[in-house]
Amino acid sequence: MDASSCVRGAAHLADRVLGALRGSGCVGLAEFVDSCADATSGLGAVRLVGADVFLPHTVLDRPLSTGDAEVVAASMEVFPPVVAPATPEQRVMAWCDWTTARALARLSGDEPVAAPADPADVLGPAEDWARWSVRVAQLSSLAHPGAAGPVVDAVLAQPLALCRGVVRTVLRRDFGTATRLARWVGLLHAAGTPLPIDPGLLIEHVDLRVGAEPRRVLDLAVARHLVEATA
Amino acid sequence: MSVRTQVRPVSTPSDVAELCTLMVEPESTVTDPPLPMPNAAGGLALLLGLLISPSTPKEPRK
Repeated sequence: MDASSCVRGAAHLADRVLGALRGSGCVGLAEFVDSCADATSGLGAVRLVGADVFLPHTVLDRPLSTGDAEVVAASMEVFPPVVAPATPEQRVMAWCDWTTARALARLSGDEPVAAPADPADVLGPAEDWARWSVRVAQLSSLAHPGAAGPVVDAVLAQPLALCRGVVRTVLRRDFGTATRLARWVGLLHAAGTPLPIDPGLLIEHVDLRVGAEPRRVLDLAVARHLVEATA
Repeated sequence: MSVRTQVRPVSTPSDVAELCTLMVEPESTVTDPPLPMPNAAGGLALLLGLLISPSTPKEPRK
């Protein structure tokens, strides 16, 4: 697998998801993978975007086509999920994979999949909020409209640590991490949790500085949707 | 492609490890604000300015 073409493919796929969210039609996963020069990299791109490929279905309530479900299942076959995560990175990957597999099972009407181990293993202590918030940012695909699960509950219980973390990333001018954290801020806002920062201002501030990378633009679109849905 | 073409794509363990690295994006390290740095050219210019500047005027003798 070529890593750079995989990343490029993920950006292209995120752009297609954005288009579908803006009403340009369906994502067309099978068409996307067929358009990739290397099918393995194309399926890797599907794995990279993860559960976000289902956003048009969860947000706009569109049905999932059999072809799209087959592509996601094929991506999980070619790149098998981590069964026994040992490193922090593998733990993050296991939770992201679980979110994708869970969304696929829900939209396909299949049996729900079992969650990985304790969310504290992947997040670490919230007292160390700087490191904790970086892990939360890496798990941003779990923060989407209607999100639920052990990690979501754990993050929802720590609004102060999350806000400290997002302010730190903005002060560090790490707007990529800030966009991922903005999704969680939006989710907390949607859940009615009082926050010491204004989610709308945060999204505006980051939006002006993050650039046009489609995956980051998609993160901000999700955050904006979560905030505006509860405005 | 697995669902469209005859050849089924395969991945190696190193591909899976690489995908894991790509999935878990670390925070950026080059994000601190610019800090003031000692500038040798600026120091030289200051020294030159001091050397060519007119001396302090003295009060004329009466």
